[in-house]
Amino acid sequence: MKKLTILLLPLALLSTNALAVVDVEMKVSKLPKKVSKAHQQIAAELASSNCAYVVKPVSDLRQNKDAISWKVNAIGVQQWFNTIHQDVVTPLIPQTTKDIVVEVTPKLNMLYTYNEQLNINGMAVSTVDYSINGKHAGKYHVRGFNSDTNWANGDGEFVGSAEHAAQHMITRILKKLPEICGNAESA
Amino acid sequence: MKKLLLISTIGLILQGCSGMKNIPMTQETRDAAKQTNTYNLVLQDEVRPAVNLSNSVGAGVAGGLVGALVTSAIDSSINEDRAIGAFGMAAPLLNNTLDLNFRKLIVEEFNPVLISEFNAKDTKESAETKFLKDDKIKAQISALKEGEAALYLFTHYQFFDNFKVVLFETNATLYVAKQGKVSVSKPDYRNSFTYISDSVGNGGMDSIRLWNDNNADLYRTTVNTALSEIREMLQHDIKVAQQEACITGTRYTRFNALGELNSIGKITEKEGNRVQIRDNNGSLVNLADNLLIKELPKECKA
Repeated sequence: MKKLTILLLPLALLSTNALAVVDVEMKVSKLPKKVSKAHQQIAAELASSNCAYVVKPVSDLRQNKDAISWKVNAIGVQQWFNTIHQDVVTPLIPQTTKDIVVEVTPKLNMLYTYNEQLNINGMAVSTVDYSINGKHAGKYHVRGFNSDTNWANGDGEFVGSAEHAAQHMITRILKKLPEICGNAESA
Repeated sequence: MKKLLLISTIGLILQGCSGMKNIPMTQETRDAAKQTNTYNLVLQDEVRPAVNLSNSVGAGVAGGLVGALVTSAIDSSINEDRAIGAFGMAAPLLNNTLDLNFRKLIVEEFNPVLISEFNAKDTKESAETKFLKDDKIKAQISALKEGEAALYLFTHYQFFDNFKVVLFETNATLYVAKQGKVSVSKPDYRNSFTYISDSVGNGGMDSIRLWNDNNADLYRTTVNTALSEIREMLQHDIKVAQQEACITGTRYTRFNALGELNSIGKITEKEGNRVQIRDNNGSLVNLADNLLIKELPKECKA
C-alpha cells in the first residue's frame, strides 16, 4: 500500500499541474561534449569519403504543432532547426567537389515528450529523402530519443528533452551519409 | 484543500485515470442532454512502446529520504536505458505506420455515436491534441445551460507485455445541466473502456515483426478493431435499461501505467477467444481469454 501511495503521488501531483498547455520557445544551447565529439567523428568520415554532400535544413512538417506534451508546446521549432543547420550542421559538411553528390532533405514528422515514471522522454522523428547526383534514390527514417530525470515537471524540462531528442535526430541523419555514399559508389 | 481536490479531479478526468469510480448513465441524464459539446482528446502522436519499468522507490524508502533519492536516480537511469531499447525495438513498426493517423481514425469511429447518442453538434475531423486549461474546463461546465452537456473523451494506447499486446483505453466523462444546475465536481456519467489485443508472438522483436509484416497489416487492423470495440462498449454502456448477462465471474490480468495487474469482474459476453468483462469498478474491458486467471462463479450472484 505504501509503495502504491508513493507511486501514485507523483501522478496526482502531475495531475494538479495539468492545467494548461504553455508555449515555450526552443533555444539552441551549447552541445553536450558527447554530441560534439560524435559530430567531429562524422565530419572526419564525411571529409574522407568519396562523395560531396548537400544537407538541406530540416523542414517542420508535423501534423501536430499544437503540443509536444500534456502541458507544453514548443514554439520556434523551424527557427531552431534553421539555426542548428547554420551553426552546427553546415560547418561539418566538407565544401569539396566530387563525382558523386549525395543530397538529403529531412522532414520533421513528430516531436513529442512524455512522462514515464521519474523521467521525461523526448522523441523526434524524421523522414529523410535523398538523391544521388540529382536523382531521387530513396528515403530513410531517423529517430532521435532523449530521456532525462524529471526534477520538477518544469515546462523547460519538456522543451529541453525535445531539443535533445532533435539534436540526437540530426546526429543520426548525418551519421547515415557515409553509408549512402558507400552504396552509391558500389551501385 | 477543496480547490486542490477539485483541480486534481479535473486533471484526472483528462489524464484519463481509469481508477476513478464509474458513474452509470441514468434516464434523467440522457433526457437532459439535448445538445452536447464534445472534447475528444488524444495526447499521443503515436503508440507508446512496451517498457518494463524499474521501480524500486518503495524499497528505497526503507533507507529514508536519501535511500529514496538514490533508488530514484537508479530507476531513472535504468528506465532511460530501457526506453531507448524499447524504442529501438519498436522503430520498424513505428516508422512503417507514420501514415496512420490515429486522431483521424478515432473521430471517424466515434463521431457518429457522439452525434446520434449525445446530440453533438461540434464534432471535428481530428481528435484534439491539447489539454484544456482547468479554468477553461470549469468555465465550460459552469456555462452549460438547461439541456446542454459537455462530454470529455480521453484515449491513450500502448504496447505491454514485451510488445505481445497493445492496449487502447478511452475514458468518458459527461456533465449535464439539469434544472439549471451543473456541478463541476460531480459528473453525471463516467466510465472507462479498454481493449486489449490478442497476444502476438513470443515478445520483443518476434512480436514487432509480426505486428509489422505486410505494411503493418496486423497492427493497422488491430487499431481499427480496438476503436470499433470501444465505440460499441460506449454505446452499450450508455443504454439505461441494459440487460447484461453474467456468464461467470473472473479474476483476470489487465495493464495500466504501472504494468500488469490482476482485477475481478463479470464476463458479460463471449465470442471466439474474446470476452467482455464488466470489472467490479464498473469499467468495461474487452480482452482475449488467455488473460483470464480463475473463474469466480459467485461473482455473478453478487
